[in-house]
Amino acid sequence: MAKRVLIVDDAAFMRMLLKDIIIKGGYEVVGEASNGAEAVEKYKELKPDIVTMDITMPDMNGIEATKKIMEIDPNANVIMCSAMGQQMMVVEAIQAGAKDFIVKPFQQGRVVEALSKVGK
Amino acid sequence: MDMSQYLGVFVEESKENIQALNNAVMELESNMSSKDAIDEIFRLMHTLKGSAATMGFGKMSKMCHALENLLDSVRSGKAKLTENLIDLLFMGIDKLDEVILSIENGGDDSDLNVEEILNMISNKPESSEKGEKASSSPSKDDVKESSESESSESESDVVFSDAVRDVAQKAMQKGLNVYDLNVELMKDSVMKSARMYIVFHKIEENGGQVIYSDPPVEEIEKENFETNVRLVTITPMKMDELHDLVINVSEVQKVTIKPFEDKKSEEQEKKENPHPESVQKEEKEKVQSKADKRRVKLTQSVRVDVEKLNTLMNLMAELVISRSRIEETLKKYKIKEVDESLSQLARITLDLQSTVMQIRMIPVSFVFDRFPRMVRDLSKNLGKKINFVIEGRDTELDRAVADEIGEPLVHMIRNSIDHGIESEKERIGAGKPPVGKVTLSARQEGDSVVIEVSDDGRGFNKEKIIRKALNKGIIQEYEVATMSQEEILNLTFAPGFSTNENSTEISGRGVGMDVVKKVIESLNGSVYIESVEGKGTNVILRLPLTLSIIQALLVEVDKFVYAIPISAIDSTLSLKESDIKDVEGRKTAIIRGEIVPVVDLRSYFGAESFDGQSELVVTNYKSRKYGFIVDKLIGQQDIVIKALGKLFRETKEFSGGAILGNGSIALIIDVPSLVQKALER
Amino acid sequence: MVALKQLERPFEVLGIKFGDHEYAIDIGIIEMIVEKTDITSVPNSKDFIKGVMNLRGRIVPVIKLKNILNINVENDEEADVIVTKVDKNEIGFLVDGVTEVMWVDPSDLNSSIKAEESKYFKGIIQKGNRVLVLIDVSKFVEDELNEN
Repeated sequence: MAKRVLIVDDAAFMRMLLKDIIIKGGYEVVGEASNGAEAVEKYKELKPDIVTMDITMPDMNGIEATKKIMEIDPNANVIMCSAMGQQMMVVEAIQAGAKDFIVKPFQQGRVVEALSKVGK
Repeated sequence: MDMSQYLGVFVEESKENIQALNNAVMELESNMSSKDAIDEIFRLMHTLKGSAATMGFGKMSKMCHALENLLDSVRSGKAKLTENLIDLLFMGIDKLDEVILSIENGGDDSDLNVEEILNMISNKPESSEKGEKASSSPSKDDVKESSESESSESESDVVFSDAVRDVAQKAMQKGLNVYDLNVELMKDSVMKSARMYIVFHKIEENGGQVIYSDPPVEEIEKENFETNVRLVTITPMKMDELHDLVINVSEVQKVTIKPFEDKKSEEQEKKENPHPESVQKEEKEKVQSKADKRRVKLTQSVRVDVEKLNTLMNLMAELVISRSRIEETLKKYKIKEVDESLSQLARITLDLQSTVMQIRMIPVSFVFDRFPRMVRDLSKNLGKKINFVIEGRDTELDRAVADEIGEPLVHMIRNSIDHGIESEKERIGAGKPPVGKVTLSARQEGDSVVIEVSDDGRGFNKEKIIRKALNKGIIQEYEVATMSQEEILNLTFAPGFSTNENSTEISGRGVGMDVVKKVIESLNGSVYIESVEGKGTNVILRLPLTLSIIQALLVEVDKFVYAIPISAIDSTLSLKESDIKDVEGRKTAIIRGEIVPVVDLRSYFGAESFDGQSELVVTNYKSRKYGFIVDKLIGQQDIVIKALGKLFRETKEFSGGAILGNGSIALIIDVPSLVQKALER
Repeated sequence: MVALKQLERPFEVLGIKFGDHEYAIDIGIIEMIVEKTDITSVPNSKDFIKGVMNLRGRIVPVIKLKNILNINVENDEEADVIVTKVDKNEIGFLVDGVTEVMWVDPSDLNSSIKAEESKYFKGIIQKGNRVLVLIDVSKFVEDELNEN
């Protein structure tokens, strides 16, 4: 069965783009969230296998959301979506439990690689 | 990847973000210490940057990045927030706006002059380029210190420090494995230090510890390495397990592992070393504030192309027509059984209709919110202080209407500020407060939305208008004497009219009030001006709430069916010829003790003959009653408004037409226009 | 719109009838020809407007072409409506009847003859012993729609 992915990003445009990449990579997108708080709620509701998590978002950022999700499920697979220059935040997210990160602008190959590796 | 399919969403969303940026920067301008505003600007800029980069608009992304950095230095206190900086931000936002516009029109960001902005930013004296964040490695301070000196030595014949060797030795004694591994990242890997951090993190997560790295941790954090990092690690894992663990980190291209070789000298071995910290597990933050568990409102939304909404609306309209047609047909046969289904169908279509309408409605803030920025710029350019007030920004109207009113409002507001509001000196001289007030307001009135732009400026000078109109040949000398106040004010709507002798840059930007009038009338709306010289001007737009469906009373006049919007109707009554009195050449009726002017639609619409049997429809207009005589009343019905087209722009009596169940057309009476025109005669 | 350039090549026209006279309209702007059905008159509109008709759910104005062309045929035999589309604007024109669609060679067209009756006469087409007056309908539409 295809792994189930939750996409979290405040930009609808980014979600749309990621969704296409993820679906093309053979995964199922089970939900989308546009901020951290929504992501946590959706995580509880949908129990996705993988979460792609944007860092800069209104209403709880991606790092906080990752922390909360890790509290709910210590085995959660969270991949951070970062922009250039957010290195320290990525490190913080990894300390918080994120498994991997991908860097914008997204390259299809990299996204799929991250998804496949994190699921193992 | 073909990105063109995302272009629409990208443009739409970027516009919203730019709008939000404008608001946030204005917020910041009014409250320079607002951390929230800075954070918001930072976040929006960041989102724009990411989207632009993804769409391949490198210049735009670069510019966002520069502005983001600028804000970051403000946020971290490295740069001071000044008025110049705010202007710079606004300028940057404007540039972004232009780029988006160009992209929307099929262009790209190639015209964007990033260098210019970058230069301006780097010329800011306040900003100083200093300081990466103070780096602190997770632990192992002792190890680091000793390894630092060796960082430059080549891989194979490196001599590890006493500390490293000692720790390794102790570990091996405990039955742990010590490996010497070389991790190679992909060449195009970005954010390499975070990447390496994952490698460290994974090793530690699995009970391991890195006791040596080349380059040292500080250098890795600063990204001072190419693609290779050499690590010595203590771990309970087997060699192949460790290999799998590390190679499975994204962007790690190659991992070579060999057992750690202790190349210690005899003397070194004798040295005693303190116990190293035992394997350190990562500690997860468990700060859990119960207060944070507030419920989050989860509204789901979907972006829909307006075209699709239009199609839905048209289908809805067809459905309403078909329903009326079925109803009409079935009425003839009086079949009891279908009555219930029919009324259910009616209910459902009604619900469906109002839902579809709801979908199309957006708050006027969608249009209004961009004006504070415009007013700010105008007021700065003209050196006039303006108190700009927005009222009723939650008032909703049809998206199609909202899309059209932006430009007219720009003209109206510009006129108010440019021509209406006086200079500070002039205002004080006239005994007015020095700061001019311009109000933009919206409210719903029945089936209409009324939008007003009012100012407390100098108002219109009638003589000036007349002189100008004469000069421009808009009116002739002989007409002047008979013109009413309203007619004079209406001259300003004539094409090419401008009351200011020397047009400033602002008003000189082409079009004026004639455009306002054109646009508003094409929307089936109307424009009025009220102005008192010395006190101010009020321009009032009356727009239909929606362009589509209304409830109407169908009436028959001279064998044709007309529709009168229910919202305009007060009451109906049957009447005899004798009920109508002629008062000074005007027909009037007395209704509940009130004298009401009456228009006989039969003669007004050119019927050649009509008998006495008639009905009176009493309507409301500007809180006064007016009666219309019709042949008969047909009934109430939902009708779908369709425009009659430009050929009928002189025929203001009708706001449109509606197709009835039997396929014929009913013209929709525009009560205000008809009252005005009929009683003028 | 029939631009001059196009007139250098053969073009297609629809022949229409008013009384005994034949006229021609460039076929490019014609969307369809429908029988005259119920036309709702619009009081206080321009003289040349007959009213509006329901064309498959759309409200389309109907114009008395005779009035525009100042053709003095006192009859009420208008039977067909030629629906044209110029710049997204659908407008119907009432005619007594249509004859046929025909190709016109530029050499058949004499545009130097200017008729006094209407500024929308664009020339005379001679087809054997038939003479048709070419009408510039798109110019009329443009004039009407762009007027203030």
